[in-house]
Amino acid sequence: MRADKPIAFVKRDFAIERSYRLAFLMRLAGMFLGIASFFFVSRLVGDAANPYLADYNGDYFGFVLVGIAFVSIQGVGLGSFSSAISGAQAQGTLEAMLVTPTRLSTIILSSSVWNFAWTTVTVLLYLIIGALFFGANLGNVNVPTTLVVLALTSLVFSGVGILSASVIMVLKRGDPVSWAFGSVSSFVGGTYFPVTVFPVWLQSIARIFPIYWGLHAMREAVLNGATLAEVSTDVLVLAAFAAVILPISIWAFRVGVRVAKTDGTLGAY
Amino acid sequence: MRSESTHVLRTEGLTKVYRPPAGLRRLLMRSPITEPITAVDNVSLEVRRGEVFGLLGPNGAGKTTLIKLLTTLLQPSSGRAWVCDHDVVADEQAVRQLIGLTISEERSFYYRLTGRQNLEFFASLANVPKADTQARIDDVLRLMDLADEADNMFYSYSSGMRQKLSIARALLSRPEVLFLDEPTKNVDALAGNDLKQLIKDKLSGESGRTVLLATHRMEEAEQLCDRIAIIRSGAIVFCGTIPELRLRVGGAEECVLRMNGADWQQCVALAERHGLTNPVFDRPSGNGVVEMRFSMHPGSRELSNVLSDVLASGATVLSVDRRERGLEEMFVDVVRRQARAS
Repeated sequence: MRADKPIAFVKRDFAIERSYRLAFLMRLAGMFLGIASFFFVSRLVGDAANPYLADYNGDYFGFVLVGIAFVSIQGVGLGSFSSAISGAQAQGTLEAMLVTPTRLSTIILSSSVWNFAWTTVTVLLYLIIGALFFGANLGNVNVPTTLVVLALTSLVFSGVGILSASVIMVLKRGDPVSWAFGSVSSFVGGTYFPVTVFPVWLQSIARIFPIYWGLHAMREAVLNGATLAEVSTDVLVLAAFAAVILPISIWAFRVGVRVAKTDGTLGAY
Repeated sequence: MRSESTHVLRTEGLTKVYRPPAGLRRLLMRSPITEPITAVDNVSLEVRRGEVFGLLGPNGAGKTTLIKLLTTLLQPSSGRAWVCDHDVVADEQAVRQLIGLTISEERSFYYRLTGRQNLEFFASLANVPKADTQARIDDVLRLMDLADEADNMFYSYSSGMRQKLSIARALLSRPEVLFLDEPTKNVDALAGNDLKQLIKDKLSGESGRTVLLATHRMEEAEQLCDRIAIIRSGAIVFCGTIPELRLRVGGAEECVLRMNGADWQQCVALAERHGLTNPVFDRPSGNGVVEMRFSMHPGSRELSNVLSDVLASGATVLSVDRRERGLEEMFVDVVRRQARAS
C-alpha cells in the first residue's frame, strides 16, 4: 500500500471534520459530561465496591475510565470499516473510488485511519480529563505495555470489523457481527463493572470475548503499571484471537466483494 | 502501459444475468429481483483506438451494466472482455489504470470538500505522481472551465459543473479509454451543449483518446460518434456507422405523401407493388385524406413511380414532403424491428 493513499484519506476526513466545527466542541463537551457522570457514580458506589475492585485499589473511577476509553477503541474497530463502506455507498463515492487502480482493501483500511487516529486522541482525552479534572490516579501507567495491548486489541477488533464490513457489503444494513460484539461483549467484557460480580458460568462466557482479555490487560497496565511479562497470558490470548480472526475476515471480505460484484449491488445501500 | 492493439475495447459473448438472492440471503434481504434478468446478452463488440463509440439504447437497455462490466465494477456471468488486451476480470488493476469513468450520478463527490480537494483525493487514488498532482488538477480544471470555481465547496456547484468535475476526475489519470455514461443526463440544454462541444473538441479527436459514450439522446450520438451500437434488452441489435444504419433501415430519407380519393386497400397494394420500405398509413383528419409514409434512398425512382400510379388511379396528390431521417427515427425503427422479431 502506497503511503500517500492513507494520507489522502486522512486529509479528506480532516477537511470534512473541520467543516463541522460545532460538532467537535459538542463531542468534547459530551465527553466531559460522560466522565463527570461516572465520577459521581464512583462516589456513590464508594467503598461498597471494594471487594470486587481489590485488584485496582478500590478505585471505581479509574476502573470505569479505562473501561469507557477502551470501549471507544472497540467501537471504532468494529464500526469504522463497515461505516466506511456504507458511508461511501450512501454518498455515491464507492464506485468512483473502485474504478481507480486502488484496491478495495486499501480503500477500506485507509478510510479507517482517521477514525483510529481520532479515537486514540479521544482515549487520551478521556484519561487526561479524568486525571486533571476528576483526580483519576494514572500515576502508575506502564506506557509500553499499554501501547502493545492497545495495538493488539485494535488488530483483533479490526478483524471483527472487517468481518462486519463483509456482511454490510452483501446485506447493506443490519450486521449481526458488530451487533453481537458491540452489545454483548461490552456487557460480558466488564466495561462498567468487574466480571467477578458475575456468576461463575457467565464469567466463563466472558472469556470467549477478546474484550475481556484486552480490558484486563489494559487496566493492569494503566492502573497497576503491569509489565508485559505480567500480562503475558492476556497478550498471548489477544495474539491468538488476531491470528484466527484476521485471515478469516480477509477471506470473508473477498467473498463479500465478489458477491456484491456478482449481484451488481456494490454501490447500492 | 499503452497497448498497440488496434482494438482498445473488445468483448466476446459478454453476458450479465442478475439473479435473485438465494438461500439465507433471500431470507435476510428483500431484493427487487424476483427472477433472473439478462441485462447484457451475449455482447461481442470491438472498439477501435481513437474512436468515439456510441452506446445507444432506451432506458434500461443495459448500457450502464455493459459499462460497469468493462470498468471492472461488475462480474460477468459469462463471456470475456478486454481493455487494451487486459482481461477485465483477471487483470482488473491494469484495466483500472487505463480507464476513466464519468458517472451520471451527481452524488459521487464529497459535498463538504471543494472541487480541488475532491480532485486531490481522487488523484491520489488514481496513482497520479505526487509531484504532478497540482499541475494535472490545474490542467483538467482549465480544460473543463472550472478553474474559477475550483476552491468552492462541491455542494455549491450546479448540475453542469458537477458533471464537468466528474469528467475532470476521469481525466486525472490521463486514461486511454474514457467511459462517459449519459454525460448530459442531468444538465440543461445549454450546459448539455457545452459538454458536447467539449467532448468533441477536447476529449476525443486530436487527443487520440478512445471514448465510449452511453446515451439515449440520439442527437448527441449523431454529433459526436464515429460508430454506434444500438442495444436493446441487453443485446446489440446494430453496430456500425450512421450511414450504415441508414442502409440497414432501408433509406436515408422519409417521404410523406398526402392523397385524396385513394382508399386504404389501394395504398397497401401500391406499397406492395413498389416494394416500399417501412410503409405506414394514416388518416390524419378522417375526411378522406390518406397519408402514406415510406423510406427511400436519395435519388431513387420510387417516388416518381408511386406518384405516377397514384395519379393514374384518379386520386389527387395533396402534398409530397421529403426529408432526411434522423438517427432517432432510425433507432426507433431498429428497436421496433428487433422487438417484432423477438
